[in-house]
Amino acid sequence: MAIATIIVLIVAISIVFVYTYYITSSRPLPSQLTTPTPTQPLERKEKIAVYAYRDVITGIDPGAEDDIGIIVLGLVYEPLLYYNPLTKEFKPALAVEWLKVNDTAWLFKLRPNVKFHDGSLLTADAVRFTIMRNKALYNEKGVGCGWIWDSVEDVIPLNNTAVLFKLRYPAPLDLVASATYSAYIYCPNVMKYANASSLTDDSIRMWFEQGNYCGTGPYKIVSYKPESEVILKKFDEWWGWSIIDNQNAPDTVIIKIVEEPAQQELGLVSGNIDIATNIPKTSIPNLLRLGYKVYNATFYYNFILMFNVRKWPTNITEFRKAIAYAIPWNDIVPVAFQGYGRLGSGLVPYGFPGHVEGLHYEYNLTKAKELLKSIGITDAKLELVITSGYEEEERFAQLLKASLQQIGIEVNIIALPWEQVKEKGMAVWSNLEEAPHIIVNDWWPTYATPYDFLYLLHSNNTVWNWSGYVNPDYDEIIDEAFDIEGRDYEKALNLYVEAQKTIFNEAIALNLCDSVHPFVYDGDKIRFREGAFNPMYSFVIFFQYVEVLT
Amino acid sequence: MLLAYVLKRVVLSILIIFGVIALSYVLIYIMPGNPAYTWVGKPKGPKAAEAIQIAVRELGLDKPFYIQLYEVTTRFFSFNWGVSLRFKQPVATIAIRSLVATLEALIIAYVIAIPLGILIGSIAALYRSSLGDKAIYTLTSILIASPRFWLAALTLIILQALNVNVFGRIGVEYQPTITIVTGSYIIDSLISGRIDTFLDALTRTLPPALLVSLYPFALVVRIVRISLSEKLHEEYFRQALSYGISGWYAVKRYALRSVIPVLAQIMGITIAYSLVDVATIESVFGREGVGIALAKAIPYNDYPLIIGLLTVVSIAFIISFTVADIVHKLVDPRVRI
Repeated sequence: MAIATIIVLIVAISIVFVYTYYITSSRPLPSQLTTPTPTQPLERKEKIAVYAYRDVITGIDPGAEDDIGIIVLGLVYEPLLYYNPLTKEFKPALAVEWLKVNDTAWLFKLRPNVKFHDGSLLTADAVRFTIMRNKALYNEKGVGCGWIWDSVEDVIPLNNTAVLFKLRYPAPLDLVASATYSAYIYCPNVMKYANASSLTDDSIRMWFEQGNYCGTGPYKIVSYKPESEVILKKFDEWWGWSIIDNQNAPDTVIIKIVEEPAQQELGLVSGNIDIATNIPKTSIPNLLRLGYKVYNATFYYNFILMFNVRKWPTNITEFRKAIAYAIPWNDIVPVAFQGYGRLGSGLVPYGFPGHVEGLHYEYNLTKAKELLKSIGITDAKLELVITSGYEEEERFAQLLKASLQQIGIEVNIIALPWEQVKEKGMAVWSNLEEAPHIIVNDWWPTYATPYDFLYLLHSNNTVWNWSGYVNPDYDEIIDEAFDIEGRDYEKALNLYVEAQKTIFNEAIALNLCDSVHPFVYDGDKIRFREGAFNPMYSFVIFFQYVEVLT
Repeated sequence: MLLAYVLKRVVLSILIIFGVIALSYVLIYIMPGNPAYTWVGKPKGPKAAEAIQIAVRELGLDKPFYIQLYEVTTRFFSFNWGVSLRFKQPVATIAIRSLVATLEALIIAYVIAIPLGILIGSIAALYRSSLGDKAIYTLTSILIASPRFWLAALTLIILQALNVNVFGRIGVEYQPTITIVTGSYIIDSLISGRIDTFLDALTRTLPPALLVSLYPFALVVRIVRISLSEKLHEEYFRQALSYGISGWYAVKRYALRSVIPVLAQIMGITIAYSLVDVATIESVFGREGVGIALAKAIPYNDYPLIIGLLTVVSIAFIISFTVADIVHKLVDPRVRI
């Protein structure tokens, strides 16, 4: 018995030693990674890039998705055009030429010999199918962003590679065709694959959401677990590989869902993540010292503070203005956003069409107190709702609370998950008691129109107008501006500026910050080429323009 | 008798699952937040409000509560678990792949905890009141009392400092090398014939599994130590020793047999506790699993997924209790199940 025990112990200890040797020897230090030796058990056959995102993927039906799914869709599908509002340049994607024939007709010439992932060819019929399904989904179920195609009366295939858009009213169709959502072209075969009987058949959506795909993009989906990770593989038959000539483009892209900022940092440092989107901002200087790099991406992604204009005391204009003057504006970017942002002005972010400079309040407690005195309010209790887990909002809330305390206003900060924030915001229309006095919303656009941001305060918008603001004059200005975008773009932009001044003067909603998003990455392994980011497509990394160096 | 036992278990299982579904749905119903908002996403434009109304109708949230509860329950019992409101994927798919990820660590934990616990517990009983026994007693007290999430964070930091990579379930370089069959990277790597991938997956599973094993290990040591100590003073054991049979042999051949039924019952219950334990630990190690999936479903009122996950966990409990009963019966034929 004793001998048996000793033998067992020796075997166990030997296993532990061999195993320990394995795990320590097979994990080279970062400095050793570039000098592989013949004894290394593994050779990297594939170029892999791991991108960590902070939120789960909400869907991958290119016709129905309107949220986080964009980070996958942007790699698997392509629109007709891409647009960069910063440079005001269009970039051909599936369309190589486009022409405004007249106010209500646009002609798009498609790129020839483009293949979908199932091997079928891109045709004008596929463009028609996509747009008609997206429109139908929106019109019948309100799903997706098919409203962007509202101006389109019909899509007429002229031949296999030419398509004519007939419009109901003039619209900037080049901007619409380069939208962030509902503009990705997919193959009509999905009807067959999903056994669908109509364009809006739920089976098509379920087919997509199970990880299926049929686009033309440079990557295809091999594994789709929306709650944890998505694995994409290079689509060798993508038309663009020969044009961009990137031999180092990743063969595999892994999108990992890592919600906790600290875990993203840990993953980055341990080499399990190559590009992190949500590192604690306070950790970034240290990571820079360790040799990591940061790409500061500008997206049209801003944080808008909305006052409840239907509830006392934020229903009083002077009170709202007093709050606006008591906001420590100079601390928002350096403290709340840790330097990663630009002070908001107007409602439309910097660089986006319709942005207006100088439309923000200044920190002036004296003026704030005077305004409060003028309406006879000496103290008040306010509810401020923010999204839990958004460190910028949490820091801003603390700043605001401390500042308002100085003018006798107490702030109760309520941090909630996003869906509950939305419910609280919508309560302004249905259950005023439940609606907070102040709420912070983060927003990014669907396509390059200021209407997207300004519609947030339209009286018809009972889903996102969390201020409960009703002003027929404001509605009329932005509706008119939207209507004339296709005819007189300059005039439309002027009207959008006028609308923002109205909101500013009445202090209905305040753009706190146009955020700048730091992508922290391992510079020894990852290199971003020009084109890897486009501010219009928030959080999408176009991996065809990324080089994996090791 | 076996048939009666099976029938009893099936009825009990159905009642438990019904209780889980009903209780979960009641809690979700009274929780703040509207599931329709999760289902509909971020509708924009003039039809946004209508989209929410349509979602309310699609989910049946406009019906009286008792009808909603009836529909949810009957759907689950007809094996139509529906679609996750947040992830838009079939609930069964997400629930099963999460459970597989959790079980990967849990099974290893128990494979370590039970035999090791029996061995150490037996040593402590045989050498009761010795220095070794006191050390084992103190160690198990510490293990039972230590918060595992804290130990997990500490372990991760230490391994990180030692350059041992245990974040996630599998290294990214190994991910494309295997074909997913079962969802367990450890098993799938073996199926794919990739020993390197297998070792990587095992390396990443072992630390969380070891941490999960601490509680059941300490518990097994304590139970074996106390139960065995009593047996060692009984007549039959002393007689065996007087015949010249070695202490170890007598423990293994006679005394331990009488401890195993108690152990089996306790382990059945402990697995339930460990499932909660593993949920916190897998979060620290960046692993997928039931705990993580639940944490992502609850704040968004994703009731089909919440109910689905709790149901698979309940089924796992029921299976573990059943296995415990069967082990009890096998070891002690006098027991009627």
